[in-house]
Amino acid sequence: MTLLLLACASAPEDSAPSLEALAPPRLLRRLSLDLRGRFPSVEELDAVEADPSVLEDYRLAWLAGPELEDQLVLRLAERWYTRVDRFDIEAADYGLYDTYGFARSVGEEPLRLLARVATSDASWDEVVTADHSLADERLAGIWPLDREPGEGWTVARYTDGRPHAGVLTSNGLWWRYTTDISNMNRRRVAAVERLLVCHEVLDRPVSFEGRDVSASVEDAVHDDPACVACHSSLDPAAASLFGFWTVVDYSAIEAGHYHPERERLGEDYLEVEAAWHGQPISGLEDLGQAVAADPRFGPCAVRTFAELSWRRPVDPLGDAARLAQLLEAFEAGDRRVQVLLEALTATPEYRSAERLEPLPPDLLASAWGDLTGFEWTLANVPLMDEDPLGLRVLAGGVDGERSTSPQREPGLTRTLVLEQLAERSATHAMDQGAELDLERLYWRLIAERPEVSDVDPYRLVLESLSTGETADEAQAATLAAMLRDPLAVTW
Amino acid sequence: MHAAYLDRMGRGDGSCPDDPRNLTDTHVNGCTGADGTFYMGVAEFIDQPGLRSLTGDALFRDPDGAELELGAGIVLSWTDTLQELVMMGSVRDEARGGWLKAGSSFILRGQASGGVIQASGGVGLGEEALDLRELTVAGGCVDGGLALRGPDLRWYEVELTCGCGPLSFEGRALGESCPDLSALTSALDVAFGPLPELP
Repeated sequence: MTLLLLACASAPEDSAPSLEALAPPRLLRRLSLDLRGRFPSVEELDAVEADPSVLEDYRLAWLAGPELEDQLVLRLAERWYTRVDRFDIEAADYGLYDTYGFARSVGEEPLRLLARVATSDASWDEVVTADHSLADERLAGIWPLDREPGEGWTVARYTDGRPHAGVLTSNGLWWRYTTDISNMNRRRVAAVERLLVCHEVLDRPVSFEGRDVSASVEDAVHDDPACVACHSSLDPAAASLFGFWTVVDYSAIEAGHYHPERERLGEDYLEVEAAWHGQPISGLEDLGQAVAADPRFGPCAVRTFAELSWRRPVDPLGDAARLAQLLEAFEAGDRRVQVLLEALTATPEYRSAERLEPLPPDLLASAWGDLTGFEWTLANVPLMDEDPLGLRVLAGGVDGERSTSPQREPGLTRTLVLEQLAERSATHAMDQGAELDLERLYWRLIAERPEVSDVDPYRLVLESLSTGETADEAQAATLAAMLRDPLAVTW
Repeated sequence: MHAAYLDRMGRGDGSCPDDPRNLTDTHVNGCTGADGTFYMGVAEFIDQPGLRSLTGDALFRDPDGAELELGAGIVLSWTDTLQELVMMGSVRDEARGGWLKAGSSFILRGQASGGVIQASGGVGLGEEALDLRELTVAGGCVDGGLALRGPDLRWYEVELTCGCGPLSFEGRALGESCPDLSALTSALDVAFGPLPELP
């Protein structure tokens, strides 16, 4: 096995299985959806069709564009699971009534910092070492934050004495990953392990067969080999998180503030000295530094962005050579995610025509919204982006609780939601006076010049409906059908 | 804190809140009294021989906008020979000055008996925080462990014997120290002194 791994790790680039590449317009479409959240314009598609070399200009411009941050927030949410619809502390606890907006502000706090670091010239290390968070107007109004002026998400610093450790000091992260009197922050450390060094604690091969630790769990975590397998690393890190320890559940003042006087409780409660995988640390700031210095931190960043870009789990063996190349570029680029994304979007894996992953609901909503002007809302809640009122999970999205990975196969509920969204989008577009040009629309939606056989089915729909419906209704129905073309709703 | 709470509750109009001492779950989503004071949450105040306690998760907003926020349990109990105090949670009262206005959180237990006060736990006042380890005040002397969170957000520890002792930082000795403990001992004297009159 060792020899096999070494062989894979040193495999040259061209040993990877050859992947059929997307045609330049289709690749432009993929880049535009990923980096801007919308379809390329007809003019952009025409330009790339006429001269494929301009695709690189678009790619580099969009990688540096202002829309990338929002897209990264949405994609990173598929891994960080913080864009949940409900927290223990609710909008009403602060006298607020916009429950959707409140949940998004809270849940996006860590994601915004991740995305801001990723789109800046800063090292990815900043996500665990930054001396600030980001906050919008809502968070600045409810939490102890000194926020820089400006609209939307600006740099903000907590004023309650919490140390500097990037996302590790964000309320949004720890409101999502809560703990309790018996768990004592271990769940939070497991989240840090998963998110920042790509280690699943629960995947460790531990057997409790023949063991009875029920008599004294507190002792067992220190001296039973099966327990120690995990607790020897979990507990020392958990000891550094007690500034976020709350003693009154569901209390806004307790959960909204850091508690420096509780920092030292961890070592007492857990009976360990604070450490990160054997390296002694003194508090949360040290934890951030230790995570950034962990040899798994860089590779984990590469893996994270590779999976989000390629829209599939990485294959530890099959992708090893590519990941090694990407890591080299990432490290050579001082761990700037811009460098990594530039490299990733140039990989054969990204440009492959062999995978047609379903577009996530947020991307469908934004891309179709840009195309038709339609926003599907109820009580000001965007229905493709939440679940108590909306349809995010039914449409194949990630809510971070019940659904933790994007739907990768067609499904009944997704089909029904897309049908509804397509019909409403199309009707709205026609109500606004849009004109249906089937060839042009096919080009815009799918980024392939249509053959007659591609468009004829839609022309038949239009003609057959035109006899019984009004012209607008017939065109809306045809547009709705084309919006749901399998090639239009995939990546 | 008990007085600040009862002051707000005393402004009620009989229906909001519907009890002069306890904020019942009727008001979990909030209500506004006749004088404009807003009440939200749940809280319970008990005052009986041997026990005075306030526990709750509640927000009060005065007509001028000043807020009292409570997410805590503050329990005083006593017998003829022993007083005990448990403070857990966070409080903030914008209508008051000092540490209450900025907000404070604590996780503290203490007891007093026969002129000896002993306390363990932490008190946080903004960035500043104290951690007491079986700190004992008796006969004018302070003994036991005391840790202070410095401006660098790290902890400095001193093991006191009658007010003085070796100071250390992350295991490194920094010499002998005799910190000014007057504010701390005054606070403990107040906490374990005569019960204040209630409004």
